[in-house]
Amino acid sequence: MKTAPADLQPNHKGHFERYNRYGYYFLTPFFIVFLIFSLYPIIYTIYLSFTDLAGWNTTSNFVGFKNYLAIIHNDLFIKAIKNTFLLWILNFIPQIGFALLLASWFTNQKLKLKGTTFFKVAFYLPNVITAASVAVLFSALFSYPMGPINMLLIKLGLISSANNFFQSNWATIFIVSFIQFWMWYGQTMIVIQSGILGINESLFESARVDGATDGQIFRQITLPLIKPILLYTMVTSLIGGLQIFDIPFLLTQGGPNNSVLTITMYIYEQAFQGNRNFYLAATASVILLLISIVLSLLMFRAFKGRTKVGRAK
Amino acid sequence: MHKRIWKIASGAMLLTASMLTLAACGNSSANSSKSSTKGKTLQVWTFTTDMKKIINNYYKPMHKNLDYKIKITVVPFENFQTKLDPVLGTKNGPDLIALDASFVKKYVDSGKMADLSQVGIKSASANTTNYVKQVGQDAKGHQVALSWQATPGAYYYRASLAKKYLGVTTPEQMQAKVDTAADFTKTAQEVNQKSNGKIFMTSSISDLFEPMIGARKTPWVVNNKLKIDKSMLDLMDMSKQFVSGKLTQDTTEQSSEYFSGMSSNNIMGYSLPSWGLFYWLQPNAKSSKTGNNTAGDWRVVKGPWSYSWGGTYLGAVKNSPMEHEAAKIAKWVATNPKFQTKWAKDQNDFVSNQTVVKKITPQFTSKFLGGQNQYKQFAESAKDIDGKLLTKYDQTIQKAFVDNALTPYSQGKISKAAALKAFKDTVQNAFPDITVK
Repeated sequence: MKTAPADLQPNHKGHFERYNRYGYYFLTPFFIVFLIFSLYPIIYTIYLSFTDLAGWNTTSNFVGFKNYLAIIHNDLFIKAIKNTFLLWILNFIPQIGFALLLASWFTNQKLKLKGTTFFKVAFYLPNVITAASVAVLFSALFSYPMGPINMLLIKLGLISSANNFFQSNWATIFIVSFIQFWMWYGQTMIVIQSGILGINESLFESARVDGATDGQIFRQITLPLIKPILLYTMVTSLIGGLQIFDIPFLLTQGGPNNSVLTITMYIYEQAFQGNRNFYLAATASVILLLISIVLSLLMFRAFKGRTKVGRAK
Repeated sequence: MHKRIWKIASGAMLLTASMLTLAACGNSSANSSKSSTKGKTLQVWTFTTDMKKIINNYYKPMHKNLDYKIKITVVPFENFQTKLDPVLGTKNGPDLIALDASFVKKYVDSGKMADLSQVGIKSASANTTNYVKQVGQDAKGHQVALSWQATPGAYYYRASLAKKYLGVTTPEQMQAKVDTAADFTKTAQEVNQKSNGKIFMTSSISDLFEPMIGARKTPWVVNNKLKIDKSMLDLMDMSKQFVSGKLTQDTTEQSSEYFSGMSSNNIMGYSLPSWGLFYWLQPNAKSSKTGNNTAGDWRVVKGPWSYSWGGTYLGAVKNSPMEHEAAKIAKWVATNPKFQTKWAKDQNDFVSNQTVVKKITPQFTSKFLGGQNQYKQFAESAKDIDGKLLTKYDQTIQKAFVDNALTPYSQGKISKAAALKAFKDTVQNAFPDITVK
């Protein structure tokens, strides 16, 4: 930054301070909206988790930690937590793998791939389609007994009779994970690619001059230098993954046997279906909030540590 | 320069502030008027287009002097309750609501529905099918909802397929073939053998569970305790036999395969109620892909079970701005003989007013059913339906039973004990207050 001549500085600083307050004026609308539509609901949810509000009732009693004790012994809620993590792991590992592979190919100066722009757009496209359409698409593809996938597998002789995919726990889990992977690897690829493009090209050149192979360059130069980006991807993906709702809900509503029932679906079902147990939904929401906070803190700690290591090199 | 920025900033602040006050106003100001209806709008919420037709094509033409407007909002069935529950009984809520039989009890027992006695429902509904009245009564016996339709269930079958594979030419002969659940299974096996497995007796196990759940003897919940009717265990075995023996195509109810079976030639029949005829069969009888048209080839018999499935009830919301007018509409639609006669003929629907049913039964014929008089048979079936079977828990419990117990068991995925445990766990989760032993 340019520094102003010494004699002009106090004057400038005065101007700047006078302008300062407008910043706050412009921020107020956001904070007002945030206080009413975000902070208040969060606090109200925490309050509800200590009451027994349900159904048509408009008044409630304070019950202390009873709901928390009940929910940690609730098999379905525990299953929902397990499912959520399972779905995230099953979609994140292939997602980051594919994204890294494609990003390194697309940025490799030696390969000089043609038509990368087209492929980047093509890989990103699933992310543009709304989740509802994707769910309809896949439920039609895997439908039973006359769906296209079933017909194809029978024609190829891989299976003898049609398979009801959405009645099989693991098939449904894999389909949901695949959809999540398919929708998000393009996005992750773009993020990683921008990370790789930020690395000074001369580092790659000198490595190549020194006779390093592509694999060595990727492991020794690319990976360590995009660690911050990788961690960023991981944090955002985990937070998103904890809130996974649309695809499993629209595809099978959590079934079969609650195999793709996620935490947010559990909250939704408790709050808006059946008995409408607001207190249970609120308790589950608070626990989801706690899980998100703990995991984010852990990752930010890792994120900080790693970047320092990266800079020290 | 300074002034301008300040203006914009304060303008933005004012705008936000005024929005907030407006929002605050929306919540206050309770309902204060019951006197004049002039220029007001009556809000109707429904989940099918039925109500739109009824109000626009029948109610309005027969009530030309209405001094208020009627606004009909169609909310998809899946979202109906989620949308309705938060606003029910508030100023933003509807005045008149349509309620499906699967969840009507939830609202009937909620204490948020207006007593229809204010418009003289008792004398008006003297001739209404008894079970329809029972369903719309709350625990104290107040009539808070009523339906224009009675929905006795039946088995619809394909005449040409029945002739080819079973040698059956009349509905009476067909009824003899499916008179009990055992007969139904035997006939299904016969169809399977004679067609070399090409023809399925039913499209889905829903053709078994919808009738059998509708024909239970005990409600799902009695005295706050979960009750599993004995027939539900029979249903599990029968479904398993149908799936493993390939007696059903094993589609899912309301899936595209389920509906496309109505125009293809590989499904013998469907278990559907009276509304299934004009709501599901008629629109799907012609395939848009192959052009195959099965209209006219369908017949209807009572089948093995006396059951009811679905039905749209109408009720006015207590303390809503137009409560009284809404109650009037509900009463008119649910009881008016002139409307119900016309509606039955136009729509092929089976109505709840028994005087109307008696009057139109002798000369009723349906082209879609090859000239068969379905009214005779529906009138017969409607007598045996028990309106006290319905509880406010039904929709959730039935879904839990079908998804967590019946379907996986019928496909041989889990044992009966595991299926029942999964069912009970799910029910307990949804309703922590009821006893599940």
